[in-house]
Amino acid sequence: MDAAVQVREVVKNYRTVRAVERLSFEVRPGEIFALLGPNGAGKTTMVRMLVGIIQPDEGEITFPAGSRRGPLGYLPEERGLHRDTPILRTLEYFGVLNGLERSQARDTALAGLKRFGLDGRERDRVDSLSKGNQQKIQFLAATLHRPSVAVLDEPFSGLDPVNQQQFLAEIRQLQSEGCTVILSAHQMDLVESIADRLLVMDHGVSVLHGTLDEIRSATGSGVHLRLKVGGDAASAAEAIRDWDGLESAAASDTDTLEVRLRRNCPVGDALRVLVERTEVQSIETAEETLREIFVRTVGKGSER
Amino acid sequence: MSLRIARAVARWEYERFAKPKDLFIGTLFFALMFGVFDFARFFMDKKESEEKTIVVAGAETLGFGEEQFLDRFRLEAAGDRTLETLQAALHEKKIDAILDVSDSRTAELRVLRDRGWHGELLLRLQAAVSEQRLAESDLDPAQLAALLQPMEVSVVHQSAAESGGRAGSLTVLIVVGTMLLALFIGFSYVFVAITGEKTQKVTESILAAITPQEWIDGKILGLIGVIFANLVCYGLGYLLAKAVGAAFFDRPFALPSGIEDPVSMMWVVLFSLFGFGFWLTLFSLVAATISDPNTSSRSSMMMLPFLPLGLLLVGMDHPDTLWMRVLALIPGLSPTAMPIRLLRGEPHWMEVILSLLLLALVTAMFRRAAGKVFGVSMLMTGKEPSFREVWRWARS
Repeated sequence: MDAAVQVREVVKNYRTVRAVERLSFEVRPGEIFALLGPNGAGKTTMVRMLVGIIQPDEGEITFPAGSRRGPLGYLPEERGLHRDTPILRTLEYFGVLNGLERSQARDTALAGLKRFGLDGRERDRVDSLSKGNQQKIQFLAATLHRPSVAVLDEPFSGLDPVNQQQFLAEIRQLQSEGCTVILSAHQMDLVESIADRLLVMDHGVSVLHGTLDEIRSATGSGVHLRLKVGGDAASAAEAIRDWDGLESAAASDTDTLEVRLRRNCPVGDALRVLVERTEVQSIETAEETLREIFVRTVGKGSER
Repeated sequence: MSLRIARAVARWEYERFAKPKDLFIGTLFFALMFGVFDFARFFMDKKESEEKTIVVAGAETLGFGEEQFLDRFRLEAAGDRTLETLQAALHEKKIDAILDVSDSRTAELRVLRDRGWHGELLLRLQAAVSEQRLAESDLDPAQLAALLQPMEVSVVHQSAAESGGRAGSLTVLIVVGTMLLALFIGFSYVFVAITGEKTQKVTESILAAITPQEWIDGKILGLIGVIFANLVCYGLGYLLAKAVGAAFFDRPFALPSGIEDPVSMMWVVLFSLFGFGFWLTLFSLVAATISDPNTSSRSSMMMLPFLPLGLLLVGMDHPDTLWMRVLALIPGLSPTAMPIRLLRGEPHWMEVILSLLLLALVTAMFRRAAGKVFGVSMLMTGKEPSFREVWRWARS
């Protein structure tokens, strides 16, 4: 099987706004696919079309035969549960709506609650839980039926770092069970650590697409060097500014210099220039992070 | 449509709103309400049936003595008392009325306010005066008895099905009132269920799992269940009040007339069922287009089923007129109009079937349209869709 989800030439308009513009991509079976983009890029519209709660104006979204068994698992960006209802009843209800038998939904819900440290609170009302714990219930409601395809819109928002790690583990567990996961998120470090492939959208179109390595290669980002220098780092940056192998140089601290080389620039040449022109005390290399690529590609200030 | 899903949604909605504790409290509340109503009627009836004292100024003109009884009415001659004295006694409620006789053909009955017993008193007075006049004539006792013998007239129903008797106005008012009350309750549940889900943002999660048609079908079925549970509670409350009245206060244990006819009641229940389906589907449609229930002017549309009430009540005493026959065929009005005809009139069975079919057909069409509109409007927040947009979605 080549793809779990195929999106071809999809267009979606809202009155005078074109939210998605001829977008095409594929999600492979069993992978974690991240959909990234600044606010208003069209991610949530794309997610809603993937789930089928809104329809594209043009193009098509298909789940090739066998890639989708039963309802999708869907965690919407706008979270919401029946607040006045007991937790277990809420989970049972969503389980049944997603195709489980009531007893099966109940057993799976109890196991999920235990996994999230919420055992003993089955009969409590949903609104008695903290926001983070309500998000766990929402996640359980979306994935109780162990879907073959899960679409998670901003799964990490509003979670503390410990719970973010727990959600990462849950998503990896889904993947290990054969589930194809499509997620949209703004937490670039988390996406970088979990996504197999990603697509960056801006103004409804795809601007980057592939694995992180493919994207690094496509965006032409060269090697990144971090130097500890003797003296003022800002002066050191000025001293190398005119060198033609340089993409950028900036002081990140009084004694730390961040240097980005042009693509294909040999590191040896760079080290020679740096040693000649600055007082290098230590040096380390680093790859460009997803966050850096994102900010560079779609513009600063677009992250939450 | 998956019946399994619609049933799961129906069960969810039912369990959300028909909580056993609330239903039990509701039953007790209605028992108390009916009990208070019954006792209020009992005491009013008792007061009405008490002996009434009427002072007759000019009693001699009518040939009445110092004191005369006409059943429970005690007629007492005014004697030396002036009209002013009598009026003072009337205001102090020492007497119930003054009969001021001008001559043998004219009199005035002076009372503080209209009472139910006035008509009965006047009838008895007329009879007593006629009897007095006849007694003063030269007729012999046998002729007199023959003259005074009232004619006995009994009603014989020519339609075999009607020999059990038709329901009284009270029964119809109870049936129609209960249906409207149930609709009002249904309206509030629909409103809370749908706008609540919109504001609590659960719609996306649900619509990702099931179709809008399954969702609205389940909702309507569940809420019809809630309405019927409430109706059963009213019924139980009524029976409980009657049973307590009969056991401890010697009150009669009687159901409203006509309600015991199982065939008519079966039709009434069927029309109620489809009527609730019709109106709840419409309510759901409107509620789904409301973004903020606190500010939306569309909430007032929920009063639509109450508007035709006046038209129907006009026809209550004339259930088989053309007016009522037409109203009983119009879907939306028929759930109230046809039960009135069934309980009070004699609709042809073809009319009943046609009315029910029309209602079922329009409800089914509404259901399909509601499914289409529901899927779109439930996801909308902010500006409410215009009626033109809603119409376009419904036809899509």
